[in-house]
Amino acid sequence: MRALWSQLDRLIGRAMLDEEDPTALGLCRIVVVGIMTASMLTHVGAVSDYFSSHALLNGEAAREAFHSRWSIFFTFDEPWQVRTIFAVGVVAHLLWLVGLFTRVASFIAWGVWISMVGRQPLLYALPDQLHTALITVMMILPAGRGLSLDARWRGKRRPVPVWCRRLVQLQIAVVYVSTGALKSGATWRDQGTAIYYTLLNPYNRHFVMDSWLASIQPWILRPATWATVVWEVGFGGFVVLHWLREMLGRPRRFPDLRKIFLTFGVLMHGGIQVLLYVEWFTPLMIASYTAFLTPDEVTRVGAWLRRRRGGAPSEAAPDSPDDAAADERGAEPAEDEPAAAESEASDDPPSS
Amino acid sequence: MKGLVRLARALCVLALGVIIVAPNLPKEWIGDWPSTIVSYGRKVSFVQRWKMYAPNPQRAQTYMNLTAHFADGSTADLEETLQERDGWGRTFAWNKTRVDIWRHYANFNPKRANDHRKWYLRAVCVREARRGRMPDKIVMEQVTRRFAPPDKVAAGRRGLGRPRRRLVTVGYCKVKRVRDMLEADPVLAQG
Repeated sequence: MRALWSQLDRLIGRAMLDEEDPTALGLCRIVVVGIMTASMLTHVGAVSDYFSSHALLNGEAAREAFHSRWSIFFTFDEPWQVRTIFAVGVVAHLLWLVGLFTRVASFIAWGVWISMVGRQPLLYALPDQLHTALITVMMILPAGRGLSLDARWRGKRRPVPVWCRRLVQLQIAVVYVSTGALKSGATWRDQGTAIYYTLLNPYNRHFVMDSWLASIQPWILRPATWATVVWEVGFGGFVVLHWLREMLGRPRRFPDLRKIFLTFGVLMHGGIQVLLYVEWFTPLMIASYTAFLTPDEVTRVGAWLRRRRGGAPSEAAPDSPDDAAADERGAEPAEDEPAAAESEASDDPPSS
Repeated sequence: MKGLVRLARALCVLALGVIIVAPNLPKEWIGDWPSTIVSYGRKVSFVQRWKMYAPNPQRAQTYMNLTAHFADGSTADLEETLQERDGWGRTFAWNKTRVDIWRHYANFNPKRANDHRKWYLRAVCVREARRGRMPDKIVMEQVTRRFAPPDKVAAGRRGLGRPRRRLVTVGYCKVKRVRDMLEADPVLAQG
């Protein structure tokens, strides 16, 4: 019984509760919240028109129309009140971005954002739904423990549990697998014309190129359509394999599929961004991919950036499980990074 | 005790995972209990349904076309109609506002009741009243153009088909519900 409990405890630790350096989660916070802040700022100039008593749907009518939603703007709806609350929300986003009073700032930022969506949900589409999902997930996480002013000025630097980044990864996987599984129509499965039709839509296309799209349909768009569905549905398997690989200490029999899956994602979303108007969907999705970077990788990138700027690494980066795993495999540090690799030793607790 | 605390923390993490995953699982697999999660999540606009371009992307684009009818018998094309006339080329972010998303929702299900459309037309009554000329009614039509299949376009056909127009509904601006909205409107009260 004791052995069984011990094994269960080990499994829980590796899957969720073991700790890692907070740098990777901190980078994820910076990038994702940065995009969210930009999305918030696009409301400047229209806040009263959308959310206050000066909106076309206001007062009792707004409460009746959107009775299933919560919003602080149902209570405070004078234009000056709405503008003030919005400004507080922007400041909260900025504080969350730099990681100062992160917990409180993230909660306020979340509250203001869901108030905006709840006050007039018909102004928001699926990219904003992703924003709401990510802001909710990020708000729960202790993302201010690394790469933050809380860590630097207020002594809040502490390790974070491994489940934090995995929750963001799960959210991304659910978006892809769910939408991939629902793409059951003939344009996705049989004809392979879904991307063609999407790029033809004048509602959000950036370019009019009907004849050219038709000419590349058999050779480029059809394979790309099928590849997209396979990739989206396969993303769930990729994330499960990625978790197993990390839990088992990255053995050789589990290849690192991140480069393949995430590069495909970056190219796909980049293509969408160039060709279509999709609000903030592409930047948010690509920003959330940072959840797949390990603390060690983020530290190396940081050291590389510091060297590019001509400065020496300014603070000792913590040890991380990635170093241990690399040592077990006998992996060498990248040729151009020996100094950084040496400087990464510290006395932070190992993660497992 | 420490073990139990770890177990409790792990269960909390699992619960977070369930909140994200469960709304996307088929009801045939797990029953209807995730609808409780969905309804609580909706309260704070946390929605986990990711039906993007599914089951098929749009194969036609529809714009609304609004015509205001006034008490003196005159009519006027509203801004939605003007947008429709210019809406068949290309689009960039700076051409869009969030109201375009609302218009998109208001176009859904033209043959059935649609609350988004109902509230949109009421809001248009308020908008036009604020602009100084209150219509009696607003006639909503839709203009739809189908997208030609790739083989037809390769053979020389245009990508967008002929515009097809149909009457969707008539929104009346003098019904009690709209009158109440107008009376309560602070912008109109300011004159």
